[in-house]
Amino acid sequence: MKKLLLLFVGILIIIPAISFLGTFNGIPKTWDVEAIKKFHLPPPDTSVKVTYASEEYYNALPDHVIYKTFPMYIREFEKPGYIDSLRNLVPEIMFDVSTLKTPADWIKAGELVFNWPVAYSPVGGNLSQLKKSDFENSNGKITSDGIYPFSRYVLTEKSELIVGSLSCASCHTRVTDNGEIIPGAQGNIFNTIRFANAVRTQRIPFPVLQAGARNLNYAPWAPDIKVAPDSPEEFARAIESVPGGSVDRQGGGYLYPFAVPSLIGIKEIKYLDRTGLMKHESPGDMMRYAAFNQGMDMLTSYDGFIPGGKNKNSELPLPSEWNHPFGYSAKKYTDAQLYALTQYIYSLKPPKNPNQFPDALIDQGRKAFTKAGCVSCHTPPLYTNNKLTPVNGFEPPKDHFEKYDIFNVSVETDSVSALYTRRGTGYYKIPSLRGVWFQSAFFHNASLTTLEEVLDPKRLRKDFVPTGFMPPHLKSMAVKGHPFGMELSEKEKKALIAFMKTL
Amino acid sequence: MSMFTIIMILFLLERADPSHLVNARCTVNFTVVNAGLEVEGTLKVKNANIRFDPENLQHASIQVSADPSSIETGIGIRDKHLKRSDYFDTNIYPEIRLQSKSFHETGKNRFEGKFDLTIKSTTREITIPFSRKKKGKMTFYEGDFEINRLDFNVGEQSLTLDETVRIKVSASGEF
Repeated sequence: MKKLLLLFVGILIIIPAISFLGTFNGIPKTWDVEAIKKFHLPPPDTSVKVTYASEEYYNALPDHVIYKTFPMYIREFEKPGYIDSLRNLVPEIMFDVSTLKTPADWIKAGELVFNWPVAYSPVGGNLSQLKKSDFENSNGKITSDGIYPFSRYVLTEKSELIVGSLSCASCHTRVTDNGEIIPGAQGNIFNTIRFANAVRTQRIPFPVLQAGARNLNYAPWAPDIKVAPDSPEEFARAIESVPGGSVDRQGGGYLYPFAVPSLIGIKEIKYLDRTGLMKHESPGDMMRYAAFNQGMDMLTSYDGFIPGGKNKNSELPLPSEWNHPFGYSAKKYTDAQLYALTQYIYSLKPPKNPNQFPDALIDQGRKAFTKAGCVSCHTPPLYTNNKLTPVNGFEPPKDHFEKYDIFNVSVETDSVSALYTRRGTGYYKIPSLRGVWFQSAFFHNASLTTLEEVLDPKRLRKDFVPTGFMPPHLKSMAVKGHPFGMELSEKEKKALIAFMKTL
Repeated sequence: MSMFTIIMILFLLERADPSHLVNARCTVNFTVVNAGLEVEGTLKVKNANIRFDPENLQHASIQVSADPSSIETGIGIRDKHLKRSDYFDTNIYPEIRLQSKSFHETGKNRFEGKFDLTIKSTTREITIPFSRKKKGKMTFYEGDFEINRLDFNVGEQSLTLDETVRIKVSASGEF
């Protein structure tokens, strides 16, 4: 009996010890299908059966190995021999989990992941392919020292230099008018002109682009929505019409770009994506978000339609067969890489706010913020109440009130992105207003570029010409909904804008 | 006595009752503090029946029903929100009712009544102090009171929106 008791006590001690050893580093498991089901919101048509790639499939994907990367300069700023000097370097693996001991180590390693590109193409020649003229009349940006942060050079094998893009930094890096970088802010750097030219000249075969666009944009519950262009010229114009601060991304719908969110302060934000597609309650959720958005979302099945699937989108490709329309390598980040990424993202701080306003004006603006009703949704201190608003045409099912945080009224903005795209949930997230002073894309489709425009009642009219995104076949369009603050006097509006620019 | 005569007598008796206001003109105003500022709003009254003789409080009664779907606060989308399930849920509960239970006099032209207030599926007893004033043929009633909106399942706890709502009910009519 005594032995039995000792054995029992031993088991009681050993079990927690084993559990502790199993999770000693606190790294959550990214591809945990049960966790994914809880964190991923369903499509607005709740009858659609959604199946995520299995853990076996995910685990079979090869891991990213993160090497040292190098900035890409435009030709006028590139030092002579720069590209050849990179080719002569020895490839250096930079992310090594065994070296990460302190929180600061993890943050630094996360920065590497943030900047690690996932789409690659070989570099020919010994001069930068980018020239200053490429950025004239373009919405792309370069830094004051001539760096184009959208892409970086990567050396994984000696002498074989490749240019990599579509890292997290590609969309979440802002270059200010002074040419300074704000990591994690609403990105504004992508040069659309080069891509549009490649489409226009059919350097990329148009049928390939068309098929890719279909895979990127088709949502089985909205079969009548246009998902791909009819001609290269139409597509080129569509690409050019996407303004800085926004992105045309997979699952987002053709001619429905999304304004890019700032990642600064994201730790306190409960829903990710403009449509609140994924809940964010822990680093594990952020890791899952990154995994989905760096390619795994193309392998989710919606009523049997797998956007990145083979055999007419009906079957998962083998990991070796996977070919993302954006050119992603068929690799996954390791859990440690993704965890490091979250630590870096959570550590991001806003830049020093250069706006200076008199206290009395800010106080008046704060009052206008309440008077106009802004405060109910954009509630301090986060300047969001962290809730979802249903869009016109969607009535939240009863069980959603238990599962999600719902502010149960539509603000009557355009509902297409929320209803008829794969990122659609029937909701829009109430965004935080923190850092609006360093944003230039407002409303979920980035139709507006200034706070003045947001408060201008003229934008509700059909003859309005928005300064942000407008489908290229239109000459004008109303930017409907969210009428808050429009009734304020001009003086109050100025004060309100001043107040918001302090947040 | 013919049926017509009986009806006429009853009608005249009703008209002759100096305490009875049928379909009195009645307004409901409310204020609630949101982020430190007062938000004002109104509700339209569907009907208000007031039988109130200060000399005969035992038989007095006041019944007011208001239409929550008529709510106006100056911001259209906010009004729409207030009609939805998390606030007044007007599709299911189209009426707010105030029904008196008893009265007593508290001063000259001042009274206090106990009422049942029904909002959504909740009925709670509340006390309303009110005044009654006569001016010519007109009689004016005015009372105000506070409720905790959470007691009636109107909205949820909020960082900005106070739970206390101050309500003012005014009625007037000609005798």
